[in-house]
Amino acid sequence: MKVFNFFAWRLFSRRWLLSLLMLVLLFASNYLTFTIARSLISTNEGYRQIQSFNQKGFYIANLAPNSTPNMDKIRLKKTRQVYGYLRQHFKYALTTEGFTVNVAHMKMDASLSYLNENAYRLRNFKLAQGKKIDFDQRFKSKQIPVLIGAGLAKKYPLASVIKITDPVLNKPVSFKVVGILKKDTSQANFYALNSKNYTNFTIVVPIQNTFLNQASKAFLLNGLMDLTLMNAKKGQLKNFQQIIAQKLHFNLNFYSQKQNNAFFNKYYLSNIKLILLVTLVLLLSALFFILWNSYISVNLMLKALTLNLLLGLSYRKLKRIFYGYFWMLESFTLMMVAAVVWHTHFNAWQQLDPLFAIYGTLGFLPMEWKALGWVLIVALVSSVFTVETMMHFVKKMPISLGVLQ
Amino acid sequence: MKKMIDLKLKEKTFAKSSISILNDFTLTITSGEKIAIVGESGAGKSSLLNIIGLVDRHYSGQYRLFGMDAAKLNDDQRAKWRNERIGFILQNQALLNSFSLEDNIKLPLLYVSKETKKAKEVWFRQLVETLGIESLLKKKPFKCSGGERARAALARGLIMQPQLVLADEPTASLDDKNKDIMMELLFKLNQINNMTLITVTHDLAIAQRHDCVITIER
Repeated sequence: MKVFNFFAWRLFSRRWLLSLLMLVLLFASNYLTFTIARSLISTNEGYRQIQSFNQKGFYIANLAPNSTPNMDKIRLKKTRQVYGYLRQHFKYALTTEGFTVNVAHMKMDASLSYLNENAYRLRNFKLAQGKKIDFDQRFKSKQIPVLIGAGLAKKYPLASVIKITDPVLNKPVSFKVVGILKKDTSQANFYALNSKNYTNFTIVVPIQNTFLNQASKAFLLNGLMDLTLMNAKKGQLKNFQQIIAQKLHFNLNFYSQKQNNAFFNKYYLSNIKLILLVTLVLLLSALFFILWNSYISVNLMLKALTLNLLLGLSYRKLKRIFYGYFWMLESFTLMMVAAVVWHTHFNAWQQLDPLFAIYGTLGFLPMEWKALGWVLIVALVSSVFTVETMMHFVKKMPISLGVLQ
Repeated sequence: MKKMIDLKLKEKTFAKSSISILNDFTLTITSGEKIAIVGESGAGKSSLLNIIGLVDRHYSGQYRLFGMDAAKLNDDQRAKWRNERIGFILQNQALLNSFSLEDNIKLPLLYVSKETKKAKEVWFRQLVETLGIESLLKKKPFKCSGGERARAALARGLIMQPQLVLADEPTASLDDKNKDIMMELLFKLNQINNMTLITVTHDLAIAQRHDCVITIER
């Protein structure tokens, strides 16, 4: 240890500029690797989460480009007529999110996720405690059964009651907690599979037709934007699109999840290929500069290294010192990567963002741990490559009394 | 008397060069001998010290040191012997300017156990006192005179109380006073501790004070 300390702190670190450059290069390559790995793992998770929507006859609504709903022109009565048509002709899954509400005893607002029975079944929530919502019962205004996220469960355990003013109905409602979602349950975006919302501060609210009949215009329009038709044929879709255009004056397209995946793949894959290429070039450049930096360092320390090799340092010990120093720098940069990720998560808590506040394990989500694993693999490969190359430089230098003259 | 060095060289060649030196060179040295090596530049004096000091293993021939075949020693064993059993005193001292004289002298102690390091502390104090550099220990080499640096380099070569000392022109560029201090200490240790000394020198007066003078010719 004292030999390592001597080399690390009294010899290598004296060339602080080179050490700093090495740190920057290692951080850049580690962070790039982490970002790419996390994106790929997140996308893969997204595919699996959306899989239940990838069925024959399933079509998901998407606001047409250049089509903007004009809230002032849209009438509630017309919107309800569209929903009437929807009920008559289709089996559908309705999910509406984006409403938040202040909950007593909680610093963080809760995000409300309204789902009808079909949407609820497709989501297939995994519970940590309690039971699933029974849609067969009528939901009276007193005590609607809900599922809540792990963050809310601390103050509102199973069987407790949450009283809020429902932002959709604009009246007080009572929710009874029947189930608690698993910590950090997430849901991928239909169109950006690598993008996720987290449910730690979500209340899953079941809705039925009675709710829809009282819901606000904003809620109903919101519901159409992510509507999933479950048994639609192409001809039916066209008719529905025309009804919407006539009554609500905007255009909705409907795509199967297969089409959405294909669009995402085209957009994401073409971008990811470019990003991977750029990342590979940057990683190789970083590796090149690390090697160059190492070569310069060895040359600048030639006298010190040769002298120590003469006085009792062996090549094997020197190699261990190089590995030790490299991994000391790598550990520091890995902590910097971790700090950046933690900061992002911490920010979500600081800003009281209910959709992005996560717990993780030691602050990291499982996909982030996996991404870190990839960073370690890349770091291992680059450390072996760098140190072995440095030893090659060192062994090429003759240790001789003549060199020290 | 025990044979310390038993060297039978066929030749020493250099990579990317057709030059060959020390052809059919044999050398046998017993423990406690003082040997001077003289010769013109390029004859192979430093190369010989590199081979004897286990620094260079690229030669053809046989070399036994301390009764062991040098070719059978691995990298770790060679490093350990260079540290514990062989002392090097170099012409230009080769001190590290960013470290104090004390740190330079104690550099070989980096590679020994805590106990050995502690045990050498008394010898270190004796050495620096004998060499008259105890007041300079905190100074950096570039702030010291040539003579002071030479004495520090001598102390570094002797800190481990080696059985064999290889001195490559240790008194070059020193004044007479410092030359005497250096050689007196080396000869004293040779006498008291039976330390074997091999000195490469151009100074014939110094060479003649050794038990034997070997001349290497091109």
